[in-house]
Amino acid sequence: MNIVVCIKEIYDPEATIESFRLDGAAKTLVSSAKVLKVVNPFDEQAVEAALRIKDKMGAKVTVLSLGNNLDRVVVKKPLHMGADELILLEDEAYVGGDSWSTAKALSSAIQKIGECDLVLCGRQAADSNAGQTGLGIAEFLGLSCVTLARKIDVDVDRALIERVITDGYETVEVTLPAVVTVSNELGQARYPSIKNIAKSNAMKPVIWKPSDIGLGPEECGASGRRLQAIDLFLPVFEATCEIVKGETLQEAAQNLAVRLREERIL
Amino acid sequence: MIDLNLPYLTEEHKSLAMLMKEFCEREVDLKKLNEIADQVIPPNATSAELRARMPWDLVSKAHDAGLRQIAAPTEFGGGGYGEDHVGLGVMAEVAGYYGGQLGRLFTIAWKQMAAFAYTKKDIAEEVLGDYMNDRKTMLGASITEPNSGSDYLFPYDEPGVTGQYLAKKEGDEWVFNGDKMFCTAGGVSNYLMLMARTEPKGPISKSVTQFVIDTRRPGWSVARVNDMMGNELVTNVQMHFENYRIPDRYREGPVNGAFDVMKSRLAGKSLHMFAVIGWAERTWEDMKEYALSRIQGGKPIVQHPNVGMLVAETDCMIRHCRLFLYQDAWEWQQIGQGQMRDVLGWYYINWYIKRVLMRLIEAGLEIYGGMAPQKELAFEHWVRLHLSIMHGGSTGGLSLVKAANIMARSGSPRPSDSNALYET
Repeated sequence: MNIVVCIKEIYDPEATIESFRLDGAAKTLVSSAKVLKVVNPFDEQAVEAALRIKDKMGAKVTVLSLGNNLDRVVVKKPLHMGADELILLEDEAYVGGDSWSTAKALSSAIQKIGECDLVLCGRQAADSNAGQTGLGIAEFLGLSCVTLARKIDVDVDRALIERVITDGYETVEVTLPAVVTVSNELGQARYPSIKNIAKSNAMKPVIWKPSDIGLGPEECGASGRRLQAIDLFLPVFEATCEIVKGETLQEAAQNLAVRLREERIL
Repeated sequence: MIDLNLPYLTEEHKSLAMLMKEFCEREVDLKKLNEIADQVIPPNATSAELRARMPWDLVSKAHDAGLRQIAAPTEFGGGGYGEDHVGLGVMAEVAGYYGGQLGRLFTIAWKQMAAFAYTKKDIAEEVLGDYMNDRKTMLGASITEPNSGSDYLFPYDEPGVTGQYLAKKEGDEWVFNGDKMFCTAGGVSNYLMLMARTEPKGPISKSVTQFVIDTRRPGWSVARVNDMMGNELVTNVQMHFENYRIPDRYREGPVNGAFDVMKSRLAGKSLHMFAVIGWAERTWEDMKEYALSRIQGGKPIVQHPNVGMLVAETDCMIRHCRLFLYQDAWEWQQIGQGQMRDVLGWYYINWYIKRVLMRLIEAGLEIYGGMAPQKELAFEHWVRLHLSIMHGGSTGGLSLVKAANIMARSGSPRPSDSNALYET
């Protein structure tokens, strides 16, 4: 069984808000140099789902990521957890993409990988929270997509998946190959192993440029975007305080009720 | 937040640091650790009572994650990072930052691992076998005695002056009688790396032997608990030996050659300081947050020059001390076990970190003002932790005296002869 897991490098969601500055003109967030990057936590759960299948029935787990100057400490983490191979779509051309151009590049890479029974993604990225990439990959590859999986049982050419719904979960069956997005209800991902950290230290990931996956630079990253950011700003919360008075407590309460009615709150 | 963008750190080091960060964020409940720390320890507590205070669930999880064993040799199933002082250093720093006293739970055992290079194979197998297979096996070390504290660490070397004649050879056994004084984790450890005078009349630097002590053998007991601030998890005890016997094979290194073995563990001692620098960074961040949010005179107090200056000054000192520690750890790694590129480095760090911590406490008292002594602030626990390191490894002043002596004798601003460490 061949499993491809797509992961995204993001800024540590635990970083304090003071670590970031909003650049309104460029419509982007700028971080301080000290902010750590991490694997998107939902993607870690996708890696965990793949490794559970590998533990149970044996599988080759290939990890795929996209960006430029990707932090090797971050993108190698799935290898430290037990994945087998790392392929990076790494080039300046991949920078600034949206869900569309990202899904297009990742699906092109998956086609190049060839034999693939299952594609796993996190339910969404913890920075943009769009939740579109997994679905986009399935669309580009013409595969079924099951979202928000909390448990995946694979049986030769099909998978039984428990997917999270508002008031519980439902069980669906899908024919493989398929794309599945994994939700946090899957449970905690395993720790990286120290043995694997030492082992993968010298390991060089496979690097693919846009031309390696059959795409022109204009189809990737910012050039391939279909979503345009109109504005990026910090919301301003303003409050004015009005003291409602009265000669007695009862009168003050009545005046308060009148004011609330005037403001159509009551 | 720990800054991992340092030239000393490799990709592998950063991965290890991130593993430690993840472990602490997932598993460590600082409030729970502080609650244990706040429990009163009776001065006559037994070893069993001290072990009952330990957060074994956390220790067990650290074992499962491979963190407890990371410094043990790979041939025994450990991580094999015992000689990677920078790697262990950054892990200790992260453990200190995110896990408070947890940092010391790691570093106490990590620093002992270097000594196993001097241990006979069957003893190393026994001790490390227990450590690797039993999540409750703890390791510690012991040097000081009721009447010999800093002179043990700073040998004056007059014949027969320092240290009690603790261990005497009888046939193939060593027999111990007497006390050891300030032993961190002594009450909870199964094995101790212990220095004992074995030659009654010689100078201390040539009269001490190192042993592995199994605390489950008859004749060893906890004499009293030294209830130290900031050391409440692993605790600190005075130990008593009464006709305690171990075979000669439990000796580490040559008879009367303990100071050579000890040199190999000096780099390990700085691991405690890495943990403390992690605590210091966390303390400073808390202080900065307070200075940003506390409004006086219509503006945050960080904008008051007297407070802003303290925030900047302590930031500068912590950053500098941190770089000093990493430089020293890196230098240890370049030459090998028990050797030093800069003999003075160890003494300077031992002095400087104490200056930094004291200044941090001083700044905290100014910045928090009346809130500083309030137990509801994390500052109170941080102060305890800082004080716990300030007593360790001899006083800062003695470190400078020793450094000045070495410098004067060698005539070099950076003497690199490791033997100078224990010459007077």
